[in-house]
Amino acid sequence: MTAADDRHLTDEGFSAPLSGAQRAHVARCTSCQQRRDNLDALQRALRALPRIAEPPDGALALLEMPARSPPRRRLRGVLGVAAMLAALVATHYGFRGGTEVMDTALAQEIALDHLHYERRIDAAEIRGTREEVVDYFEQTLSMRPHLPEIEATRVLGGKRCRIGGTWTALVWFERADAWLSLFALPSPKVVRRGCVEAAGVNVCGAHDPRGGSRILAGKLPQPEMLRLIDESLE
Amino acid sequence: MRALRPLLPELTRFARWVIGSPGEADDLVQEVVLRALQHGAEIQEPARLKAWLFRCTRNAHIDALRARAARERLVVLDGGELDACEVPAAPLPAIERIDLERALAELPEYARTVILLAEVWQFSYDEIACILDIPLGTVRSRVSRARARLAASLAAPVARGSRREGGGT
Repeated sequence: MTAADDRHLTDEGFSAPLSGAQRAHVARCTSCQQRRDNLDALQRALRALPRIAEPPDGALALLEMPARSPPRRRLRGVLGVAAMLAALVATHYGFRGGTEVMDTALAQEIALDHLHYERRIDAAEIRGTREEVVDYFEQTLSMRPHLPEIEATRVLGGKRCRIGGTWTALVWFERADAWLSLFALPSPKVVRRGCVEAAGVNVCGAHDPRGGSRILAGKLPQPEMLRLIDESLE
Repeated sequence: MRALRPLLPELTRFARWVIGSPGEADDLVQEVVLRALQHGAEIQEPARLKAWLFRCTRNAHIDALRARAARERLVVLDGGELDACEVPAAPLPAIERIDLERALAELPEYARTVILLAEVWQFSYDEIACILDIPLGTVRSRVSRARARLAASLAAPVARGSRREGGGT
């Protein structure tokens, strides 16, 4: 058998069609036959591994969201007209800035993340005092989210999570039996202080004067959520 | 995006095997679904969508590894190759799933990914080359070396026995 034959057998794991010379060699070679049997057994074991797992609730919820957007072409037209009207109104009345609190996709992602982990303290990567939670994020994300004491709230724990592809510190609070998710994002993602509703959850955001953005998700009334965000930034 | 739903269980399993941590894998799957909803509408063919989703998952994982490495000032060695390793010529013991999963977990990430795509999901080498964005020859050698490494790992009963007992002090 040539070196090329040997390489072929190794690379293809004996599963590819063999040439006449290769077949003849394997028929005479006990160790080749054993290696072929080993690779066959390995292949069977690998192919018997489960190929599926229960998808995360958040991903399923994203797919089950009703398609609210009009067709893309129509949406572009509607947005174009809306933008023109907004520009006219802004020019006329001297308004500054947009009206959106944050990107709709971001609000949806935050809301779904909140719903996915709501009451699931077992998903916490860190449980402990405010200082321990902040220390954990400093060690693992190299960011130290400002986390002051907030009256009538209790820090439950936290975890790192990816929001819009960026690693973010997520801290869970409890207030009056409500579960709240506070996201400290390292980049400015909030357009202005305010709240939106997404997937039945109030999502409130504000700029963090120390840098980045802060977004709180939960089912408390929006004015209360905004007050909590402000207190979390003091 | 109706075609996406039936592919989610497979994508979730793939992400969990590649990443190792179920929590991080779930976050990643959610992110990939968002990307698919934003960009995947152009991909109508289910086979292409599946390959696209696997590619997207793997890329998002590599991005996360690189970001973490930058934060923790580590170096991600994703371009290396496994040393050549002989497939054992002695009979393998019966392969238990727990041993196989452990042996898979011990492979470098790029070797684990390629063997999973080739054997568990049975993508063709051409498709794997496209998913991982590496040359066909590299797919071949990685699959071959990963197979040999897995077989060698499963053939080491002493090492397996000592790992099972925990080996702690």
